[in-house]
Amino acid sequence: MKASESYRNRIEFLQGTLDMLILQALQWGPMHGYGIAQSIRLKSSEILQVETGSLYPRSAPTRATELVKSKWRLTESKQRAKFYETTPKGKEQLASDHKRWQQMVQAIAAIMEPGKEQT
Amino acid sequence: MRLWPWSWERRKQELSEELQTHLRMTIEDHIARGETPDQAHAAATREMGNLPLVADTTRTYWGWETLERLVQTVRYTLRQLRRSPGFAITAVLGMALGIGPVVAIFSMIWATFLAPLPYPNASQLVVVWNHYKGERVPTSGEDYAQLAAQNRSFQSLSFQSWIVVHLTNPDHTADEEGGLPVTPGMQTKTVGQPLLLGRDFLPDEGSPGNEGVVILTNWLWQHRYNSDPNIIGKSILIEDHPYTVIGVMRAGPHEKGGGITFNVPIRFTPGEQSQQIGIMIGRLNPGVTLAQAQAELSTINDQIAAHHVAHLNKSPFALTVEHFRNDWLDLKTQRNLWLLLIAVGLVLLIACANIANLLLARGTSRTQELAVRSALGATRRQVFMQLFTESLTLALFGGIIGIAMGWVIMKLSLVLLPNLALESTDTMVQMNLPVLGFSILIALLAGLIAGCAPSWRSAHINQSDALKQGSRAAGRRGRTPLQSALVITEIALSLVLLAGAGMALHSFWNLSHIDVGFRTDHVLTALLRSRNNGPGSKSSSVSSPEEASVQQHQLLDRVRQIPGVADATGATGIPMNGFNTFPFQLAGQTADKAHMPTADFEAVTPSFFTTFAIRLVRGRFLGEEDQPQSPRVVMVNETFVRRYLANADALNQRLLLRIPDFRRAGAGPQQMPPPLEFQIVGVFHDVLDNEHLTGDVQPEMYVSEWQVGWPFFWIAVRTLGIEPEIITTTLQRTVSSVMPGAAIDHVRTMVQVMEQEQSSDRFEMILFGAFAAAALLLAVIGIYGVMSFAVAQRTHEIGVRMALGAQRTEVIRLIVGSGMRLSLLGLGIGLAGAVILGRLMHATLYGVQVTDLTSLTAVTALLFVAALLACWFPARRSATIDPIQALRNE
Repeated sequence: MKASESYRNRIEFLQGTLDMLILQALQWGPMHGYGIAQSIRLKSSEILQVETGSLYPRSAPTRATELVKSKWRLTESKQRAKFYETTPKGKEQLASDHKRWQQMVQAIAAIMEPGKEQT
Repeated sequence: MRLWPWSWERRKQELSEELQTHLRMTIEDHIARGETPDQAHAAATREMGNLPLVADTTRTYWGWETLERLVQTVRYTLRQLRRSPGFAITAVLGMALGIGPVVAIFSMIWATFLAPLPYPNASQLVVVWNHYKGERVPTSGEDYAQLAAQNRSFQSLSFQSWIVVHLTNPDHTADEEGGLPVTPGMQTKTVGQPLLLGRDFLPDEGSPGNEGVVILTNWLWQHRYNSDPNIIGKSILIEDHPYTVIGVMRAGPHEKGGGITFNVPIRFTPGEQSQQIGIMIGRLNPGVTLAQAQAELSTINDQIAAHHVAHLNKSPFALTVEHFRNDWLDLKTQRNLWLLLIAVGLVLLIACANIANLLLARGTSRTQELAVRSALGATRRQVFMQLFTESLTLALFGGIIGIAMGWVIMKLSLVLLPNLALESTDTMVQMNLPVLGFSILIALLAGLIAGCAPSWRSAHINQSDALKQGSRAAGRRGRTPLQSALVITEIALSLVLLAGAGMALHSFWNLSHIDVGFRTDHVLTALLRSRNNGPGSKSSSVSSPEEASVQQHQLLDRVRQIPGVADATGATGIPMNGFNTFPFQLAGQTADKAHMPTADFEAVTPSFFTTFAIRLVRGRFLGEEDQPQSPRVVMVNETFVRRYLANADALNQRLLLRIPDFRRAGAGPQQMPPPLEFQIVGVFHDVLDNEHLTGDVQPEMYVSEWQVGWPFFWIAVRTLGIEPEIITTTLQRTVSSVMPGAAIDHVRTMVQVMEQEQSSDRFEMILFGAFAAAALLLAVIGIYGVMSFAVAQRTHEIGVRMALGAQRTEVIRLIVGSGMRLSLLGLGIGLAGAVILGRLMHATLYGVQVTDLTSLTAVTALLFVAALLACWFPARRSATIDPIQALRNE
């Protein structure tokens, strides 16, 4: 019970942001779950470690079914894996999330580093 | 799609496959970085964390958890129930016993009050009832013609006659069917049912010379004419006159009421006299309310009355406009249905209390199991839901068996209904979708009521205590307050039901001991009717009065010769068939013309008194010596003497009666006959002439048929040594051989008449009794269960007591005492409820006080003894506990 709650908390913490990162990772084409996790990890220079426990609940079909669709395919190494792909709605969502995120970053920056803002 | 379990399974598999792929890829990556397979596997597993938990959390996000858990819980429940079949069967049967009666009564309530009528715009359909002194009476054809012509409220106002005409075949060998005259447009315009074949009556059909057409019901068309598709245009015989079939009705509840199988047309012209009586059925104009229609008709009705009798400005008849309903039960039975619904509701509550008790006991013995489950991570909500699902599952199974049981109870109780209703029961009362839906709903509701408290209590057990102390943890308390409350409730509710049954029984006892003034056994009565009294024919087969008298004598003589017949009589009226009010005057007194005293007046043959075994109080009976030439004589009943001759010697009095002389042919109806003197020669014990068993006896005057020469309509036969029904066909044949133009109708034994009168009360008594018996059974099982359980839980305590020197009797007294304290409390509360029920029931009972001490005492004693026994058996078992064994078991 405790463990499952801690997973949930982390997901709540990343609410919105993780969805955006996943959609961003899928921007360039279909990818399987492992690929999404690796992509986020590599692009963030290994700072963002997406845990399986956070990834699957987000990307799993029902909840995000409007944003991503999935299909079973063979990987380059001939393994069967589920590939995810953004839908047009997912692309819209990414654009609006991105914009909101930029506003948020600017707002936080304005509070945290007031000097910089004025220059 | 994803609501289906197999779809869940597939997705769950996909998820786990996906996670496995993920794991494999991670391992491959690690190996690619130069780790050994073991190291790679360990690292990957570490990175990914608890895989089943990930899968679990993911599924939670899918939102399936609740449903999935429900399916799981139901499966678990079924497994649990299979493992304790004793509990399951007791609970399911207990529930079924509670639900069955509800289903049965509800199916009748539905059919009677709630089912929508199968007619277009049924809310516009109304019945116009005529009332005289609070009783529903028929309307005359004349009045109908006025009302139909003058009203503005109705699209169509139709008239259905009460005078039955008969379908015969040329040699009178086949069964006769009854039909009713109706005004044109009744079926298609007023009721709104298109015909299956042919056409409705035309507006001028039904007027003299234009009446030989007939519309058949679907039933008659199928059964008598084998659904002949070419029936239209064929000729059939009605009252020995040819009628042309012009239409066939559609099948349905509208077609056959009271055994009527066809319609012939009838038509009235305003202002013309008519012998017809019947009821009015109408279709209101859109937007017209019942009250508006009633007000309009009442105004017209008052005008008609004023036109007839100059000094009247208000009609003594009151018209009411009522919604067309499934009026297939008499008002009393309808009221009884509601009472019975209360009764079955109480039975259901008792059944719920019983299940709750069972669940509580089971919950207590399962304390440990539940504690383990919650220690393993089940939340309170989950434990609660699991127990709750259990009770709902039980209720559902109970409901299904209950529906089957309800169907049986329904069929059995329909047999008890009054005869009149019997013909239409099959089409009326059915286990249809609404009834089934309601039953399932009630079952679930019962499960909810029964399951709520026990589940909540079990879910709130202190788990560490429970685990520490083992299965006896909760048992230390013996009986819980909740169980006590349930036992008290059961006893109280049972007492209410038993009191109801007791009162119904008491009332029925009173009813079957009413002194009707004659012997009801071995008497067959029949109405004598002329075959050709159809519309348009007024001819009589007998020409002179002397001839008629000879024929009457001949008929009675021939009937007396039928083997097994002890006596036979002819009369204008028979007991329990209604009375008339005939004015008279005491000789030597001046008459107040406006307020003449009245009494029931009948002409009977002298054998009337022996046939019905009527008791003589004073003087003599009418005899064969009272002939047309001898002095005219009359007999009166005790009520007559009490009311009119209280201060005089009845046998010295003479009555002046103006008797229309039917022997004088051509006597106009308007001509006032001269008063004739009749000497009172005897007083007989009151005979119930009222058609209602509980109605008052009227003052009666009986004169000799042979002196007044009225045509009699009724014949009654007393048989000796054989059941009177047996001679029906012989009687029929005798009548048609002596009077070729006559037939008998309404053939009933007096016992049947009595049963018919009591049927509504019998219905109430038997059903109430059966439901009360079910309640008693449930309550006794309930007390017994709780007491046995308490004894089982207190084995240790009892062992200690006995080890310390307690006597067996003391132990028994202890257990019985604790059970009886609850029972007495329940009895007290129940008595209050019984008094309230008595008030509700009072109107349907006969000769029973509002608070009926006789039945209250009896049922309280009965329940007390039952409760005592239910406590005594577990107590006796407790007294056989071996102290050493009891202590060692701990």
